[in-house]
Amino acid sequence: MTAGGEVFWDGCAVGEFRLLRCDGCGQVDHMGPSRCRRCHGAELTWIAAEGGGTVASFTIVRRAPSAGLREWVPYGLALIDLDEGTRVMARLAGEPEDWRIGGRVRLCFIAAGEAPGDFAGDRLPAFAPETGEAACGS
Amino acid sequence: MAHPLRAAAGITGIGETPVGELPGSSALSLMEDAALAALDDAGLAVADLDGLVTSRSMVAPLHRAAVILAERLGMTPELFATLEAGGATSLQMLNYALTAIGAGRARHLLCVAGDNLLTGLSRDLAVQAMAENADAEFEVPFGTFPPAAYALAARAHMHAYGTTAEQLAEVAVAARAWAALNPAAQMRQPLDLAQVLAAKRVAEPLGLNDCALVSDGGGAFVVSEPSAAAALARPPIWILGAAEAAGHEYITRAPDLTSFASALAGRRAFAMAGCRPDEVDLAQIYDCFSITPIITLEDLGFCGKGEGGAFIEGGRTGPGGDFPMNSHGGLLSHAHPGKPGGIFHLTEAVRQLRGDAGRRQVAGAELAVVTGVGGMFSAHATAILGAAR
Ligand SMILES: [Zn+2]
Repeated sequence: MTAGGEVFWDGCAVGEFRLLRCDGCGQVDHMGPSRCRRCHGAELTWIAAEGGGTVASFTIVRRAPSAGLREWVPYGLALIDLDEGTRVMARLAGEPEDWRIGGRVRLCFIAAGEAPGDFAGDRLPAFAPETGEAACGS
Repeated sequence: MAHPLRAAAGITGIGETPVGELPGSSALSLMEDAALAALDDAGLAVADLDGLVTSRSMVAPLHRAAVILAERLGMTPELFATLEAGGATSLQMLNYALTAIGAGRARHLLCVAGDNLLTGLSRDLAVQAMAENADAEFEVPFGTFPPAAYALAARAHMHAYGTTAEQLAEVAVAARAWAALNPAAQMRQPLDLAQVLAAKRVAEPLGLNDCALVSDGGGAFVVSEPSAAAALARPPIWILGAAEAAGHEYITRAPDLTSFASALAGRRAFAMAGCRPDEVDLAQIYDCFSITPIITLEDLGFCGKGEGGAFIEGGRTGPGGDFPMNSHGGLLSHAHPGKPGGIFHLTEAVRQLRGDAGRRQVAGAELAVVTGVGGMFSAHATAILGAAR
């Protein structure tokens, strides 16, 4: 795992969705870059996302891409525009009928089993519609 | 002033292997077969080549595929490149060859791609291929794979512009209708809109028929310098424009989910060729998923942004339609061997411009556009080919 990936997934294990903020220009980014994508500065600080965001798009995966995911289909997969100003990929939680582009969502963590790779399978970041109740479920 | 590389080279030979399920084939055997077929078509021998360009294999670890193929063919090439831009690789090979020939570095270059994705891809390799198309730490753990990434774009397009599942299905239906006329195609049984819409969903809104096939197969083409081409039996098909553009790599990083760097590659290619989309007789548009041509046609300027669904409606891209597209059957119904996928869009364009397409012949085809897309709408290449210079 890369250094950035390690910090991110360590964050998930303690209930944080970690982002990087550039000390030089303030740009907030995701996916663990070693330098700021805007000013190329190397001084970046990890922050925890506040947890709110908007759905940019989503899909419901019905055919598992790998054997490990077979027992988890169907699942919602989304791109979320976080309030911090960066886009992230995550699962969707809550009721599929509440999932919509432009809808407000909030961070939670779900147990998603054997995700590919060596990741904390029971602490997978997901986003649930703010209007739904008991959004993340069990 | 005309672009210095406009028609600086032409395509003088094409070769294709059978496609579909080819037990016993390998990436290398398919590349060899396609290479020799293209040379034969051009009336050239291995000794006439100054170099070769290949794509990588997803199945075999051919790290220096061009060097390996050169060894197999008994060549000592001066130019040898193994390129990697996913489904844009075939047109990237064309652009490389055009540029090298235009710079006076070569007279004849061979471009080859082949892979046995259907018979050679083990479960482990399939998972690895999935990981190749997404960030291993920030995307793959969520269960993304190519159909899901393209589904994200499809839903965004439907939401923004009202594109419908029926319009997506039209792309698959037209591809199948063309494939029915192509004895070489992998999937030829009839397919209608209702069947496409009723098929199992893979990643909503995309269903089974909205997704490319998985195939074994290979293709090749020879690119030649004009005076060298003039010595051959048949006139070349001219490369009037060739351009590339890379946007994001990962779908999470796409600045826009409904328009991509295809717009840049398209604009550059048409500018180089000195022609407009409405002058094109045949569109060979990369179709890894049904949403891909809809967005690409918009990005290339065939219609306005958001109008792609309506543009392809009513069967007009199929046989007999007024906007023939992917007349070989495309990745959706002819074949999709992975990285070599787009090569058949190119070889079919050459066949059509030569007037050799038989039952699929588009009457009066003189100008064709060919596109390729690599990754998750990531890497784009466009070529404009002409029967006349
Ligand atoms: Zn910065």
